[in-house]
Amino acid sequence: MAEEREETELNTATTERQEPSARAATGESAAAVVELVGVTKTYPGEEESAVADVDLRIREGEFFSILGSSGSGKTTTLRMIAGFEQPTIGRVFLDGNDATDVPPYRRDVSTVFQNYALFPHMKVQANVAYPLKMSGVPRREIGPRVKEALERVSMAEYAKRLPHQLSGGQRQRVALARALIRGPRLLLLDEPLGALDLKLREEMLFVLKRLQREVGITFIYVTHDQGEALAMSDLMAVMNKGRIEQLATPAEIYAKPATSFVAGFIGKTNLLSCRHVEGNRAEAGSVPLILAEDPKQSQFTLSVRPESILIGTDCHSLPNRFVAEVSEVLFLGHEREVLAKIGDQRLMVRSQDLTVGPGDTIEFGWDPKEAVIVEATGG
Amino acid sequence: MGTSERTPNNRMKANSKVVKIVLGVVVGVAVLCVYVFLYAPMMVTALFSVNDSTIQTLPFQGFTTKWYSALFNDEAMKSAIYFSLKVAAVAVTVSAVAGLGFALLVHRLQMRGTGALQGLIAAPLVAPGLVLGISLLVVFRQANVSPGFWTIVAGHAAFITPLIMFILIQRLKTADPSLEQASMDCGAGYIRTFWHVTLPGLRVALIAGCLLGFTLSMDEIAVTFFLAGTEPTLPVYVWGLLRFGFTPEVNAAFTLIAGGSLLLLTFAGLLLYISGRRQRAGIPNSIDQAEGLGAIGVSTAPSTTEGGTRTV
Repeated sequence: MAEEREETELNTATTERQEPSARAATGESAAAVVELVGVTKTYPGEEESAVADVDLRIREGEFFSILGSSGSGKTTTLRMIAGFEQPTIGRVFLDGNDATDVPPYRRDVSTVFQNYALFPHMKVQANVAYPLKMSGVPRREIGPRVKEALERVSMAEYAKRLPHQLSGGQRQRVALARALIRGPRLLLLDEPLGALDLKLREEMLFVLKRLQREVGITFIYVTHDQGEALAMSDLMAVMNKGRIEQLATPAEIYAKPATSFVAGFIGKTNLLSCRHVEGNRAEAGSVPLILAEDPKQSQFTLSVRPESILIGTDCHSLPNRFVAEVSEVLFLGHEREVLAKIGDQRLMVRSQDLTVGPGDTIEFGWDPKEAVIVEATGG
Repeated sequence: MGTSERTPNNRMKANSKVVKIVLGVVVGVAVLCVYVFLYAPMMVTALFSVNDSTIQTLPFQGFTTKWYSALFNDEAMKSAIYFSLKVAAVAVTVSAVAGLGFALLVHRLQMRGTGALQGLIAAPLVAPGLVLGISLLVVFRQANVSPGFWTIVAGHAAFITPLIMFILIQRLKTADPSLEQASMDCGAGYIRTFWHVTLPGLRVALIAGCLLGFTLSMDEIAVTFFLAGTEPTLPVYVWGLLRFGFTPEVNAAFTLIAGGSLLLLTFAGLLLYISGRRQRAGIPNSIDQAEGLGAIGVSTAPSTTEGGTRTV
């Protein structure tokens, strides 16, 4: 019996492996430009995997972000798609074809590097012309195409400069022009805005978004800035310790974080570790709470976003309602962040009331539907 | 200082100032002595090479260039110079190719044992010329290779190769690895990446290494002495002349060698300095990148702890 089951499991495993190409052939769903199947990467001499058992499917024309802190494996994932690293286990499919062992220079993928990686001895136009030259485009076609590519990023007047004569933002634009000139199916961006100051970063966000709409190709964008990821993505994956914690749309990730890591990483939240009492009632420490539905486990973590907590008279009709003592107030300009104590729990709420100060008591509460039960994770 | 009031505090200040000046003078004189010791002989030789007298004594008899013309009318001297240039050119070319190969190999093979490999290649550079000369001579004898042009070239290449290799490894260490990846990303294979990206990045260091190697080869005497056949290189020939006394032509020859070497060394040093600076010019980029990372790190990385008001 046991043997039999094992065999069927093996069978399903192999059919799953073949799935991507099969699916691409039948055109069952929108074509996956990139598909990672069970990819694990362990660097030699290291015990923990940089990327552990990642499955990803990125469709044509999507703006896909991989969000994570440093060491989360996001850059390694990107480098495996670009071909600079080979997965230890698992396969990488590009356009439905197994590209795991295809070298980077044979992949229809372009990368914008974190430090731009412009060739320092080449002028801007030579840098942008390089991919065309390497793919054997006739000389007379190269000139106009370079000009067009530079115009698209408004850098045409800098064509004769060397990279070190450009500012960070300008280098970034040249790197984008170089990456896009061959018209790749897929553009990989490795923290492309990391080296820019805040104002330039916001400007480049718009440039990127506009470019993606114009050229209509798939973007995979690696960042540790949640704001960038939320603003730009159609779909995003949050990575932690080499694993994907959640893969969903930005709105879904914000509203319904799957794990406590995601809840804490994206925006601010209150994480309450709760114990199930009965029905839809639970306790966080000594504080009784009402839940929207019955929890499945007896111990769980509840995430309550500060903005879903209502203060004062607004909360009178809510089932979760507390009177708390204010212990700390932070002034943020447009509002205040108030740290409030109920029993042995501390919660952060947002208040527009300017008179609240430490020691005051406030009344607040939240709709049980706004609180999300998340999976507890380390980190 | 003259207007200073005579308070104890001021006196002490004045005292410490005097001590500083005295110390400064002492250090200055010491440094000057070292430089005089190093450069005076060269200056004196250069001066005597234009002195209109066959005996080398003061006072000067007047300016002349006849020793230089005598030098260039000396057929043996001319052929020695030509021979030296030929040896240096070939040895440097061979070393440049070998050094480049070794440097890339050592740099790419990031595994255990490359340190030992480097050390082994470096040995001829630091081993005394006598040792290298004799050991190579023994090998060539065994192999039945008669001494001459190619044995000298081999001897010189043996110590110029590690020199060039080390200069290139130093350059490779500070090079940006993402450049080569960017090249491959643009569709260039290994060979074209090497040709269009890696090599241009090494160009300045390679030229500087070749210039250094060239001066070493032109000045080398110990190894050459053992490996030379009937035809001497310039330093060996000049050394031979010395046995017949210190003629003014020797002064002229020495001045030319010293002057040429210093010129090449200065040029090589300048090149290395410029390439180093150009690289450092690229670093602000990585610094503000680091700052950028730091700034973002502040806003997001701690958010797991700071954002979640963890009530456990």
